[in-house]
Amino acid sequence: MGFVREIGAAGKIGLGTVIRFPTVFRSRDSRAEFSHQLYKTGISTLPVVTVVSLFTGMIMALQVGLELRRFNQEIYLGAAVMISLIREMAPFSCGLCLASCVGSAIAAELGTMKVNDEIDALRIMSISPLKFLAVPRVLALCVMAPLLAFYCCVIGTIGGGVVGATQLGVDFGQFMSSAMSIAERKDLFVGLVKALVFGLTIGVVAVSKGLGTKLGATGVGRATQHSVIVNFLLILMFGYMITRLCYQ
Amino acid sequence: MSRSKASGFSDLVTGVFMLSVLALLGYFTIVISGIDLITGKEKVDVRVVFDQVGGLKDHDNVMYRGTKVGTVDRIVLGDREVTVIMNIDKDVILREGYTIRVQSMSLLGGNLMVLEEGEGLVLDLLSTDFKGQTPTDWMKDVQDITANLNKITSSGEIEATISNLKSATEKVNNVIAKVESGEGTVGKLIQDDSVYEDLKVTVANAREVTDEFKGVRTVIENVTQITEKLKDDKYYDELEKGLTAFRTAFEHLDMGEDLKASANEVVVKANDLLGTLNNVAARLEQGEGTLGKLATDDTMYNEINALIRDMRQVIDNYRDTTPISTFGSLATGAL
Repeated sequence: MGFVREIGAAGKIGLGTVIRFPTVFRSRDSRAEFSHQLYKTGISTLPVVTVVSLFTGMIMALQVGLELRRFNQEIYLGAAVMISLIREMAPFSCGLCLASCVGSAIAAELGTMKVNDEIDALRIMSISPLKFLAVPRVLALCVMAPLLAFYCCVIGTIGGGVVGATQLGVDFGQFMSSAMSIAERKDLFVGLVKALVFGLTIGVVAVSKGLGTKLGATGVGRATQHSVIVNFLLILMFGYMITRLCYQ
Repeated sequence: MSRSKASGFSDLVTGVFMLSVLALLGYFTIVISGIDLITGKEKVDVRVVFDQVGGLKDHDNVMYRGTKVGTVDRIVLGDREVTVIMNIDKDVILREGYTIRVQSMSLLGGNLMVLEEGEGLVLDLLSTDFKGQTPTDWMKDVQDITANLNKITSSGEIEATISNLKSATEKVNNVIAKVESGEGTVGKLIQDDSVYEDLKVTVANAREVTDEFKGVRTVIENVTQITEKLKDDKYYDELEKGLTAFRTAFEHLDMGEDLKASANEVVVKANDLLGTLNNVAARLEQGEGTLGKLATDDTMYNEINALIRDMRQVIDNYRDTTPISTFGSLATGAL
């Protein structure tokens, strides 16, 4: 029953947040807060996302390239790396980075506010915690997640090209040409939609866990931990569902 | 840095990042849509009708003179045909006698469309409905071949052939076994190396004989030279003159009767010797007797040399073929 109640609370928070998205642009303070959340979500996580995506592309290029070399088909290395990144790996690695860096921070921040009764104080002042706290964060995640996913794809492809050129004897230009020739609009848009869904999921789960924090500092830690775990699991499950839906 | 300045800087960085990624995303979207922003070549849609397209799909490459000139834009399934709309460079020229076919890119899959120009009049790309060649269905061909093989196998011909092959193999194995056990002439030749040793001794002897024969020939040649010299009247006359002069001088010498008689005897014997040598030389020249034949006819020498060469060749061949025969017998015996 507790699990069902949690899902219901998360759904309520998610729906309430999405409905209030337009309110972000109504006041200057809201826009400033949204801008600040964009910076925290996108720019602050950029170093981690860069390293993760770079090495993801490099590892994929090396593994796939070694197998392709057995058949003298290294020419398709760029295509293999690009198709994997744009469809799956870029949104996935970006989602994991956001869940661990941003989602956990949101859950901890809101959890601390909850245990310090700051959320109740907002309610007393007739300020909606969702509008004031959740909307800028979740919307920032929804905006930044697709952009970061595409950024992951670009950086990962460059990393794969570097590995191909230095270790597998595949010319960088040829690698990029192969990568660009295989990519299709559908793959790109499916990847971006996945990232958007991941961003929304991370935001809603983090806010839900943060606002549902109990039992003081211990509860904050638990909320943060649960936020990360649930986000990881949901990213995997939603990733599969979207792939299943779009590629049959 | 004040709070407002810090906020402004973070907004600027965020904006730059978002605009950069959005621009890159826009460019990427345009590029993967097949629009060439760099060269800006004008493209046209060309319709090609196929009976079937063999797995061709959207965005497959279109090749012309070995270079990519466009991609397959879309494929439309008709009542009895498939229409492929390809987006290619306007500069492409197709003439009467053109061919358009779907070709496999590699064994691992993938297709491309190949355009061949043709030799006749130039055709308008936009107003012509081009006809494509039906691609070869490799899988179907392989299935047909497999079916034919199954048919042949099931008819019993293969079984009969295999049975004959088994029988032949057994016979060959028996022969090889006999050879290996030393039965028969071939077996003895392979298993018993005494023949080889005998041959070696024979060759060695023959070589010695040859060397000795070379010595005999040298003697004969010297004799022949002597004979030639003896045959020459000049030498004979000079020798006779020398003997006459010797006799005259001897007669004029003041010597005792016993000594004169001895000298006369020597001269007579020398004359006899000259006569005999002359006769021998004449007979040798005519090739009489063994020595004469040896001196005048070198056939035997050549034949002996040829014999020895042949023997050596036989021995070499035997040496070369022995390992092969042995290996062959082992390999065939193992079957």
